[in-house]
Amino acid sequence: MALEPLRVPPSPALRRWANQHGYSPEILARWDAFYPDVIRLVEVLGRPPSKYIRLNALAEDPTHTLEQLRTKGFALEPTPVPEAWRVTDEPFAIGATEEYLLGQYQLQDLSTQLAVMALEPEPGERVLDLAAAPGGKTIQIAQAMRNVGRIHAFDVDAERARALKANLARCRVRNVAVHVRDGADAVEVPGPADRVLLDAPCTGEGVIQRDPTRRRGHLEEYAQCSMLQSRLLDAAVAALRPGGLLVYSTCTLAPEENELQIQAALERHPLTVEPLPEAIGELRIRQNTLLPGLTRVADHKLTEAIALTAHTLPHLHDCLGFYVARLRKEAA
Amino acid sequence: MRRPTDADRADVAAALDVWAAGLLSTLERETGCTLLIHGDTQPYDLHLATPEVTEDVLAIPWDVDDAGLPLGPLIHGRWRPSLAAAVLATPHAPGRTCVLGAKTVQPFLYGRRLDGGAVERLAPDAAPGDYVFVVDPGRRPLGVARLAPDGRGLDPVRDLGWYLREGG
Repeated sequence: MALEPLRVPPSPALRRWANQHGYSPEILARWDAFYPDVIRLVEVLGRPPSKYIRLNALAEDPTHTLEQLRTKGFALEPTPVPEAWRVTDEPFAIGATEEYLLGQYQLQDLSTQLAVMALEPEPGERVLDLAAAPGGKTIQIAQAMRNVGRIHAFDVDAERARALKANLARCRVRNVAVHVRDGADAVEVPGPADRVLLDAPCTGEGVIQRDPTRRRGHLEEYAQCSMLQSRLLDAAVAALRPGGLLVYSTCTLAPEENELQIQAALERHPLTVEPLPEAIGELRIRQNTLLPGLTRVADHKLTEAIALTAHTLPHLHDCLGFYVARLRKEAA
Repeated sequence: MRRPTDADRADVAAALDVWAAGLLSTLERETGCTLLIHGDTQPYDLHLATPEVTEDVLAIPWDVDDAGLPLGPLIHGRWRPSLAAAVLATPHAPGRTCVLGAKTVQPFLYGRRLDGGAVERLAPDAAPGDYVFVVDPGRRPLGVARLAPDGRGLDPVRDLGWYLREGG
């Protein structure tokens, strides 16, 4: 099901300003309508993002990895997210150390780590990761499960799946089967899943710092992405056991792919929105709590429970733009 | 993917025994995993996967080609270890491990061939043409190489730098 793109006419002043900064005026007008301080947001999006690593206890004691990196001259600052560290100084690329090659940590933005924190996978469970490549969240799931149980990681793109397989091997993950197939095929995995992560393909407005081409996105892309997201959401729900947990996430700021997508899913599936775990709900990143999901978007009034979903924004949280929703499938 | 037959298991165990006696059992015990094979006949790929993943993979209606840790292929009775296998198995196979000098670690990680003078300690149990594990002076795994025909140099097979160059 494609959701109609929301059209917010840009003012002449905003149009001029958008053109000066290389943005589609329609995109900035939308952000101005939905999020605080769009001027500061655009300013931050013009700078490289902060770098974060996630320590991997499957490969090495995290304390030892920190010592090794600091001995080499890397400066690392703790974050409110367990095992996530911000790189504040690097004598050379932090992705080129022997420790990285031995899987002792991965490069993973702080925002994306929240999806697996919301999922709360446990050892012994069956977990599906429907759009897994290049594997940062899959590895994080395996860490939470302590390499026990089963994870099925799907990705339809063969080249990205190759990176996924390499990252899993590098990080010493043993409990994942990789499927180079559409995530919708997950319904055929035997036995219902206890938890499903759908970090959905999206328009990627939250990662403009890494891919500036997304500044000139087109409204039609929201409809295309939302159609794919709907289809994957339907498959995620079908593959999930009654009482199981689904986490839906994106790295975009578009309500059509976030809150409106969740609203539509609530209307066609036996799902309820759950509060994010306390570890996330209480989180303050750069002194800011996460931004609640929007319950009013243009002319759409959404169910109040959507406020239990959450956003990170680059100018508030010093990480990529991200959206996360935790959904429970009703018990039979 | 499939479970090994008795004959497969004997072949794999024999191939890994060349590196260290009982190496297959050691790796299974250490990881809590079981052997899976992808392919009907040699050369086939070896994997170590958890019992739960194994159970699922065997029941999935399509051919799964990647599950658990990839160990590398068995080719006509000879094992060519993967990078993941090198990291896991190196501590157990000192007889098939070469130690590099500090200055040759970087060239090896760039996939360069090393001549005999670059290797601080040769693998005592390896003959020219054999696959060997390669470690740095601190005995940290760096990858897999092949002992050169002169019995002293190393021809790279797969080094950890591959993860940056091609692994994504």
